Amino acid sequence: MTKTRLFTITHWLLNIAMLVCAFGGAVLCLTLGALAIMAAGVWMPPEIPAHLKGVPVNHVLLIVALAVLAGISILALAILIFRAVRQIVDSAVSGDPFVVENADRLARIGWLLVGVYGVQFVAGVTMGVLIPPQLKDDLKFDGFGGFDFSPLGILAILLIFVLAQIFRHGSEMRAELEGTV
Amino acid sequence: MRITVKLDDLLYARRMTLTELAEKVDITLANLSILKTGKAKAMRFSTLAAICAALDCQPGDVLAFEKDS
Repeated sequence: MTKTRLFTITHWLLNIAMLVCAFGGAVLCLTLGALAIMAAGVWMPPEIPAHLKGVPVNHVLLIVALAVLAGISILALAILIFRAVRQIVDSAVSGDPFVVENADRLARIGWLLVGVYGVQFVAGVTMGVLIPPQLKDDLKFDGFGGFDFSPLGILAILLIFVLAQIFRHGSEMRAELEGTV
Repeated sequence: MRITVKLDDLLYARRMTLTELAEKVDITLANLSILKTGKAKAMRFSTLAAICAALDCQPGDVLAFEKDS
Protein backbone atom coordinates (compact mmCIF):
# COMPACT_ATOMS: atom_id res chain seq x y z
CA MET A 1 0.00 0.00 0.00
CA THR A 2 1.44 3.36 -0.98
CA LYS A 3 1.88 6.09 1.60
CA THR A 4 -0.61 8.40 -0.15
CA ARG A 5 -3.26 5.67 -0.31
CA LEU A 6 -2.79 4.92 3.39
CA PHE A 7 -3.30 8.61 4.22
CA THR A 8 -6.34 8.82 1.93
CA ILE A 9 -7.94 5.75 3.55
CA THR A 10 -7.18 7.15 7.03
CA HIS A 11 -8.69 10.51 6.01
CA TRP A 12 -11.94 8.85 4.95
CA LEU A 13 -12.03 6.51 7.96
CA LEU A 14 -11.71 9.57 10.20
CA ASN A 15 -14.51 11.29 8.27
CA ILE A 16 -16.71 8.21 8.79
CA ALA A 17 -15.80 8.09 12.49
CA MET A 18 -16.76 11.78 12.86
CA LEU A 19 -20.05 11.16 11.06
CA VAL A 20 -20.83 8.16 13.30
CA CYS A 21 -20.03 10.26 16.39
CA ALA A 22 -22.17 13.14 15.11
CA PHE A 23 -25.05 10.73 14.40
CA GLY A 24 -24.65 9.15 17.85
CA GLY A 25 -24.54 12.60 19.42
CA ALA A 26 -27.72 13.64 17.58
CA VAL A 27 -29.51 10.48 18.77
CA LEU A 28 -28.36 11.14 22.34
CA CYS A 29 -29.52 14.79 22.10
CA LEU A 30 -32.96 13.55 21.00
CA THR A 31 -32.92 11.06 23.88
CA LEU A 32 -32.06 13.88 26.28
CA GLY A 33 -34.99 15.90 24.91
CA ALA A 34 -37.32 12.93 25.35
CA LEU A 35 -36.06 12.45 28.92
CA ALA A 36 -36.72 16.14 29.64
CA ILE A 37 -40.29 15.80 28.27
CA MET A 38 -40.82 12.70 30.41
CA ALA A 39 -39.37 14.38 33.52
CA ALA A 40 -41.57 17.43 33.01
CA GLY A 41 -44.60 15.14 32.99
CA VAL A 42 -45.70 16.22 29.49
CA TRP A 43 -45.60 12.65 28.23
CA MET A 44 -44.66 9.29 29.71
CA PRO A 45 -44.79 5.88 28.01
CA PRO A 46 -47.64 3.96 29.72
CA GLU A 47 -45.45 0.88 30.34
CA ILE A 48 -43.14 2.83 32.67
CA PRO A 49 -44.37 2.67 36.27
CA ALA A 50 -44.22 5.64 38.63
CA HIS A 51 -41.71 3.81 40.80
CA LEU A 52 -38.96 1.34 39.88
CA LYS A 53 -38.13 -0.92 42.84
CA GLY A 54 -39.31 1.87 45.12
CA VAL A 55 -37.30 4.60 43.36
CA PRO A 56 -39.29 7.50 41.84
CA VAL A 57 -39.11 7.35 38.06
CA ASN A 58 -37.92 10.99 37.87
CA HIS A 59 -34.84 10.01 39.87
CA VAL A 60 -34.14 7.20 37.38
CA LEU A 61 -34.65 9.67 34.51
CA LEU A 62 -32.11 12.01 36.10
CA ILE A 63 -29.54 9.20 36.26
CA VAL A 64 -30.18 8.18 32.65
CA ALA A 65 -30.01 11.85 31.56
CA LEU A 66 -26.65 12.19 33.28
CA ALA A 67 -25.33 9.13 31.45
CA VAL A 68 -26.68 10.51 28.15
CA LEU A 69 -25.10 13.92 28.85
CA ALA A 70 -21.75 12.22 29.54
CA GLY A 71 -22.16 10.31 26.28
CA ILE A 72 -22.82 13.52 24.33
CA SER A 73 -19.75 15.17 25.90
CA ILE A 74 -17.53 12.20 25.09
CA LEU A 75 -18.79 12.05 21.50
CA ALA A 76 -18.17 15.80 21.08
CA LEU A 77 -14.62 15.35 22.41
CA ALA A 78 -14.16 12.35 20.10
CA ILE A 79 -15.18 14.46 17.08
CA LEU A 80 -12.59 17.10 18.05
CA ILE A 81 -9.94 14.37 18.46
CA PHE A 82 -10.75 12.83 15.06
CA ARG A 83 -10.73 16.31 13.49
CA ALA A 84 -7.25 17.05 14.87
CA VAL A 85 -5.97 13.65 13.69
CA ARG A 86 -7.45 14.34 10.23
CA GLN A 87 -5.68 17.72 10.11
CA ILE A 88 -2.38 15.96 10.94
CA VAL A 89 -3.02 13.34 8.24
CA ASP A 90 -3.90 16.09 5.74
CA SER A 91 -0.67 17.92 6.52
CA ALA A 92 1.21 14.66 5.88
CA VAL A 93 -0.60 14.31 2.53
CA SER A 94 0.47 17.84 1.59
CA GLY A 95 4.04 16.70 2.30
CA ASP A 96 4.82 18.85 5.33
CA PRO A 97 3.84 17.14 8.62
CA PHE A 98 6.75 18.47 10.73
CA VAL A 99 5.27 21.85 11.58
CA VAL A 100 4.51 23.56 14.90
CA GLU A 101 0.78 23.38 14.12
CA ASN A 102 0.93 19.58 14.31
CA ALA A 103 2.70 19.76 17.65
CA ASP A 104 -0.16 21.97 18.88
CA ARG A 105 -2.70 19.51 17.44
CA LEU A 106 -1.05 16.56 19.20
CA ALA A 107 -1.03 18.45 22.49
CA ARG A 108 -4.72 19.30 21.90
CA ILE A 109 -5.47 15.59 21.30
CA GLY A 110 -3.73 14.81 24.59
CA TRP A 111 -5.84 17.35 26.48
CA LEU A 112 -9.03 16.16 24.77
CA LEU A 113 -8.23 12.59 25.88
CA VAL A 114 -7.72 13.92 29.41
CA GLY A 115 -11.16 15.52 28.97
CA VAL A 116 -12.68 12.16 27.97
CA TYR A 117 -11.20 10.58 31.11
CA GLY A 118 -12.42 13.55 33.18
CA VAL A 119 -16.00 13.27 31.87
CA GLN A 120 -15.97 9.49 32.50
CA PHE A 121 -14.65 10.03 36.01
CA VAL A 122 -17.08 12.83 36.97
CA ALA A 123 -20.06 10.96 35.46
CA GLY A 124 -19.00 7.72 37.17
CA VAL A 125 -18.59 9.31 40.59
CA THR A 126 -21.85 11.30 40.30
CA MET A 127 -23.77 8.24 39.19
CA GLY A 128 -22.23 6.25 41.99
CA VAL A 129 -23.76 8.76 44.41
CA LEU A 130 -27.11 9.02 42.61
CA ILE A 131 -27.86 5.37 41.80
CA PRO A 132 -29.73 3.67 44.67
CA PRO A 133 -28.28 0.24 45.64
CA GLN A 134 -31.41 -1.64 44.50
CA LEU A 135 -30.96 -0.32 40.93
CA LYS A 136 -27.22 -0.90 40.53
CA ASP A 137 -27.72 -4.30 38.84
CA ASP A 138 -30.50 -3.02 36.57
CA LEU A 139 -28.43 -0.05 35.38
CA LYS A 140 -25.35 -2.28 34.95
CA PHE A 141 -23.38 0.06 37.18
CA ASP A 142 -20.03 -1.27 38.23
CA GLY A 143 -18.26 0.99 40.68
CA PHE A 144 -17.34 4.05 38.63
CA GLY A 145 -19.97 3.71 35.91
CA GLY A 146 -17.60 2.17 33.45
CA PHE A 147 -14.71 4.46 34.35
CA ASP A 148 -11.50 2.62 33.89
CA PHE A 149 -8.17 3.71 35.38
CA SER A 150 -6.46 1.92 32.54
CA PRO A 151 -2.67 2.30 32.76
CA LEU A 152 -2.56 1.81 28.98
CA GLY A 153 -4.88 4.78 28.42
CA ILE A 154 -2.79 7.00 30.70
CA LEU A 155 0.37 5.77 28.96
CA ALA A 156 -1.19 6.62 25.58
CA ILE A 157 -1.99 10.17 26.77
CA LEU A 158 1.55 10.61 28.11
CA LEU A 159 2.93 9.28 24.83
CA ILE A 160 0.87 11.82 22.88
CA PHE A 161 2.18 14.70 25.01
CA VAL A 162 5.76 13.44 24.57
CA LEU A 163 5.19 13.10 20.82
CA ALA A 164 3.84 16.68 20.73
CA GLN A 165 7.05 17.93 22.36
CA ILE A 166 9.17 15.89 19.93
CA PHE A 167 7.19 17.34 17.00
CA ARG A 168 7.68 20.86 18.37
CA HIS A 169 11.40 20.34 18.85
CA GLY A 170 11.72 18.73 15.40
CA SER A 171 9.85 21.53 13.65
CA GLU A 172 11.98 24.15 15.43
CA MET A 173 15.14 22.32 14.40
CA ARG A 174 13.91 22.14 10.82
CA ALA A 175 13.04 25.84 10.79
CA GLU A 176 16.58 26.57 11.98
CA LEU A 177 18.05 24.29 9.33
CA GLU A 178 15.98 25.96 6.63
CA GLY A 179 17.79 29.22 7.30
CA THR A 180 21.17 27.50 7.05
CA VAL A 181 23.14 27.95 3.85
CA MET B 1 24.76 43.12 17.19
CA ARG B 2 24.84 40.89 14.15
CA ILE B 3 26.98 39.10 11.62
CA THR B 4 26.92 40.60 8.14
CA VAL B 5 27.96 38.94 4.88
CA LYS B 6 30.22 41.00 2.62
CA LEU B 7 29.68 39.00 -0.54
CA ASP B 8 28.67 42.08 -2.53
CA ASP B 9 32.03 43.78 -1.95
CA LEU B 10 34.01 40.62 -2.62
CA LEU B 11 32.14 39.88 -5.84
CA TYR B 12 32.62 43.48 -7.01
CA ALA B 13 36.34 43.36 -6.24
CA ARG B 14 36.73 40.14 -8.24
CA ARG B 15 34.40 41.23 -11.05
CA MET B 16 32.31 38.12 -10.51
CA THR B 17 28.55 37.68 -10.64
CA LEU B 18 26.51 35.78 -8.08
CA THR B 19 25.56 33.23 -10.76
CA GLU B 20 29.24 32.55 -11.50
CA LEU B 21 29.96 32.11 -7.80
CA ALA B 22 26.97 29.78 -7.45
CA GLU B 23 28.38 27.60 -10.22
CA LYS B 24 31.88 27.60 -8.67
CA VAL B 25 30.80 26.73 -5.11
CA ASP B 26 28.00 24.37 -6.20
CA ILE B 27 25.33 26.14 -4.16
CA THR B 28 22.00 27.18 -5.60
CA LEU B 29 21.64 30.79 -6.65
CA ALA B 30 18.63 31.08 -4.33
CA ASN B 31 20.70 30.04 -1.29
CA LEU B 32 23.58 32.35 -2.22
CA SER B 33 21.08 35.16 -2.64
CA ILE B 34 19.71 34.43 0.86
CA LEU B 35 23.29 34.61 2.16
CA LYS B 36 24.09 37.82 0.27
CA THR B 37 20.97 39.64 1.46
CA GLY B 38 21.63 38.71 5.10
CA LYS B 39 18.51 36.55 5.41
CA ALA B 40 20.42 33.37 6.32
CA LYS B 41 20.21 32.26 9.95
CA ALA B 42 23.37 30.15 9.83
CA MET B 43 26.21 29.18 7.53
CA ARG B 44 27.92 25.80 7.19
CA PHE B 45 31.71 25.64 7.43
CA SER B 46 31.66 23.75 4.11
CA THR B 47 29.83 26.65 2.43
CA LEU B 48 32.25 29.17 3.93
CA ALA B 49 35.22 27.08 2.81
CA ALA B 50 33.83 26.76 -0.72
CA ILE B 51 33.24 30.53 -0.96
CA CYS B 52 36.73 31.26 0.40
CA ALA B 53 38.22 28.85 -2.14
CA ALA B 54 36.23 30.34 -5.02
CA LEU B 55 36.99 33.95 -4.09
CA ASP B 56 40.53 33.27 -2.82
CA CYS B 57 39.92 34.98 0.50
CA GLN B 58 39.72 34.34 4.26
CA PRO B 59 36.52 33.82 6.31
CA GLY B 60 37.10 37.27 7.81
CA ASP B 61 36.81 38.77 4.33
CA VAL B 62 33.35 37.19 3.88
CA LEU B 63 31.89 37.84 7.33
CA ALA B 64 31.91 40.84 9.62
CA PHE B 65 30.63 41.47 13.13
CA GLU B 66 28.60 44.64 13.73
CA LYS B 67 27.95 45.97 17.22
CA ASP B 68 24.73 47.75 18.10
CA SER B 69 25.16 51.50 17.90
